[in-house]
Amino acid sequence: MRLSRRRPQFTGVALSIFGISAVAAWAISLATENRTATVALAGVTGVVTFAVALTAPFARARNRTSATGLALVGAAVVVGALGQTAADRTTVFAISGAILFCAAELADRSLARARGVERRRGVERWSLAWVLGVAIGSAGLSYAAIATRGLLGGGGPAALAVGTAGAMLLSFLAALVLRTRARSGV
Amino acid sequence: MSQPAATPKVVAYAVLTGIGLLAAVVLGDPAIVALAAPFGFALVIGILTRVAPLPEVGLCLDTPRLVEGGKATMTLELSASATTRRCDIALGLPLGLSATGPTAWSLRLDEGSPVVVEIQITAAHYGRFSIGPVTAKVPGLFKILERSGEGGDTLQLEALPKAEALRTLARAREVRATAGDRLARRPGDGIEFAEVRPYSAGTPGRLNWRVTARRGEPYVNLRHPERSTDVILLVDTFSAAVLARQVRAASGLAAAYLARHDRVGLVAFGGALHWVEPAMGRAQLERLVAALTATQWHHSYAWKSAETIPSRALPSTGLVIAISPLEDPRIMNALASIRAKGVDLGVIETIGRRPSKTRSPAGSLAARLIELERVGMRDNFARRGVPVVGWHDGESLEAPLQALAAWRRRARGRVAR
Repeated sequence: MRLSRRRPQFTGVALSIFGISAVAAWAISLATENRTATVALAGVTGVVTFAVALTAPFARARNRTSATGLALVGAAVVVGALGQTAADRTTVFAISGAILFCAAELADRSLARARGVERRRGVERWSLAWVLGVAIGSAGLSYAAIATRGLLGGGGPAALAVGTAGAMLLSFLAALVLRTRARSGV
Repeated sequence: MSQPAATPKVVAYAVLTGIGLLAAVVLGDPAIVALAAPFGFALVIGILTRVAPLPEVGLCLDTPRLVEGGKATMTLELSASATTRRCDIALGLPLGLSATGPTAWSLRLDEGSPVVVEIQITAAHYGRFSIGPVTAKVPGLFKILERSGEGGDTLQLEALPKAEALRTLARAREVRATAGDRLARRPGDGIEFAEVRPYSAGTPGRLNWRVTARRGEPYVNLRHPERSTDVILLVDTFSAAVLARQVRAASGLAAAYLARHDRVGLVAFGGALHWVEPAMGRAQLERLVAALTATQWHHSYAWKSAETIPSRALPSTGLVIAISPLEDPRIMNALASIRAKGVDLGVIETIGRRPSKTRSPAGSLAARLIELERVGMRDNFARRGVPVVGWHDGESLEAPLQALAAWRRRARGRVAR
């Protein structure tokens, strides 16, 4: 019999806050001089909002507030990376998105482990592979879609549509494969 | 079967994805999509992935009845129609019951192999409890969708009040005609020797040959017959603070009197009035304990008097033992009315724990004033022929019962009916 303890919960929450703080710090470091204040304000507000959200007792309030925090940090990353080249921007956004997603999942899973709950052997645990798989897979997918768009004539609405459609198709294919795997209990 | 429902996470992830896509369109930079892509991707996977059905839940208790402080084992059987990687089960226990281990589990269920969970339940308080159903939740991938529902039946558990075994009992002045355990004052047929009297027509008893030979006229031995009595336990339910103690005391008294072949009745007098007419035997003990277990405090401002108590629940020849903190004017008035009808009455006053000696001067003065008031009230009852004996919290009921019996012995013949 293993009872959920407070320590893993605390570690998970701390790691998730550290993750989005790192993203915010990266955004500040990328920002040009005249945008640093704006990026810093959005980033710090986002991190604080996210941290405060994790103390909310109810799932609904927690999810909404943490989403606000993530959106603010995302805004900081967007503004911070405006001065970068298209390739660099894409890299920054893909990595930041993956980290933000991992942080959100980590915090949610850590807080879902209520105290005094007996976790029996064999129960689905952290599934780190799933979270990282989605984060890295989606980042790669986005990067590939954007690169495809770049290859198809350096931009324009037609290339954007082709890239987006390609990304969506790949997403649905990946989801289909995952669904089959989940059904078969693998 | 319950359908999978969206969790609060769906809104959060959908909003984040939407913001990302909108920003990409507005700013004309498709790279921004990469920022929101993981959330959208997780959302799509979570929605498309099948959520396992809720398991079948079976609940059973090894005993439907136990004594306060006793333990019962509850068995929870979970069987799934499909492999469930994670199922969260929670059992809510009502106030008064506690579990030795956890009451929430996170477990994996495989098709065709049921999982059995045993829970040790302790009844910390007497009462009737409903346990179940259990809450079950089966989350989907990324907890985007979730099935939740309740399973299992509602089980009833009755915890009987823990009664103290009593040896001393105050006995009623009047006896009934049926046989019992109480020595009647009037001589008749019995075992206990009473006196030797000259024989006259109709005198019960056996001829005493020795005295008859010595005196030259017939003498008979008289004996005290054993008779039963009526005892009514009047429980004051106006005060919630001491109700549990009073119920335990009444339960012990009922068991002790019934063991001595007396007829015992019950009147629960408070916001709601309940009574059990006097009777004897084991079935009556069951009835009384069931009634006491169900006794609850009901808040009420309505004026209650002794007239509301049915006469058959309060026979005039019986002994009424009231268990009350004597704080509510309605119970004081009712007791005075019962005594005014000539009913034999004794009161066990439930008092809190004995005060600690370290008190401030103001506290001591207040305690003395309260005690003065209580003494005045007890004297007032004593003048009416009603003994009031104090019973402190944490002490045995034996001492107040001895005091009650002693008071009644001393007052025998001096108290007018």
